[in-house]
Amino acid sequence: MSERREAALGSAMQVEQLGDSLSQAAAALHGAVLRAIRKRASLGAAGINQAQAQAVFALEVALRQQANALYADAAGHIITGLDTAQGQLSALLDTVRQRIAGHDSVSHWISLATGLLNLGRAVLARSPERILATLDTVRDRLREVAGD
Amino acid sequence: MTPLPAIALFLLSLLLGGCATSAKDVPASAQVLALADDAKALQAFGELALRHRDSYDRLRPYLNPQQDASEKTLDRQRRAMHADVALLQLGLSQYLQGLGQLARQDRFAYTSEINAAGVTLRAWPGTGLDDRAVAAYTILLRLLARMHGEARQRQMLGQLMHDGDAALQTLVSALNSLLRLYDKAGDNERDIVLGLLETDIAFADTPAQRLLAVLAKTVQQSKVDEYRLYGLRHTLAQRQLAALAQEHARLAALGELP
Repeated sequence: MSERREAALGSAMQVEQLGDSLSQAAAALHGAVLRAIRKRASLGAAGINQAQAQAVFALEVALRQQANALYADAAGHIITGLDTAQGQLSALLDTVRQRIAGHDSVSHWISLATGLLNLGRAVLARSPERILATLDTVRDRLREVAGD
Repeated sequence: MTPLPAIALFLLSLLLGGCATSAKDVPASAQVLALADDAKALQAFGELALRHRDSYDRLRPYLNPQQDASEKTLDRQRRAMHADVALLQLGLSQYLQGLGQLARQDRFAYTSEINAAGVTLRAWPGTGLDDRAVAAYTILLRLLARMHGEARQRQMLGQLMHDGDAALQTLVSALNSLLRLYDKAGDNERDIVLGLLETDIAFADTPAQRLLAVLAKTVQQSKVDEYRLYGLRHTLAQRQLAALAQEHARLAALGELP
């Protein structure tokens, strides 16, 4: 079976890959916050404030902790028979990462990052139903962000 | 005093030692001794495994209460697993040390720690320390038992290494898988620590916060250096372990060692 069409999260390696995707999303968030901080000088009061930066950073930390929980026990978080392909999951997470990197809106970052966190929570809770539901939410949020 | 006389004495003892056996014996034994010395690759691994185990201690000052609670759960997991990782590392070290002792025609006794705890090694699926590694570890313990108490049995070496090679390859690859995961988790630890410093320093820009900002930047620089150093150590340890496995395979394939 090709990698793209294999059921998602069906092996320890695929769970580890989800950990990698969450780590990369955290890195994208961090890059976005630093970009906003650098622009602060020219934007003044319209720029990012410390509370916002700290809120985004807290999401970043949560994503990294989820990734580390998946690395620590990838085999324990294998989900069998998930009705979505590993390739689809990776592609969706790539899109989220690029969308975070390409947008300058703190509320968009927070919306997308909480979507990912909910996905991570569902995987850590080993709940296929919640995983599928959170994937739908992430897709919806991507559409909202694109629509703006 | 320069260390030269000591080295000269050592070389002399090697020459005299060489006289006692046939000329052909020396290189193979020397190679086994050199392999036994590669235990430093295992030491490097051991230090990195300990660093991974202690991640929480370094992260704690940078976490809010909610993050701290998640990290504590991970900390318990890391500590539980490390006990088995440390045993695995000890088993491999003992094996290499045993080969060295046999090559030197010395008696070898493995530590009672291994003797007592060997059978209780737990598998941690998906980490490298899986069922295959546990089975390989059992084979390694049998080899240790064969070496135990043996003296003047250099002829055993070839057979031992031949019998142990598959197990050793499995175990070294388990250590390398663990290192890969330690490295990834370590990168996330680094980015949490450095990320917090970076974000907060950026906002510590009022005159009243000047001293704080200066101190924070000093901490930041030393943390950047620390994490860079450990990144390099990971790469080095992975290379050393690969070289150790390769050399063991090469010597094992020679068949009968003198």
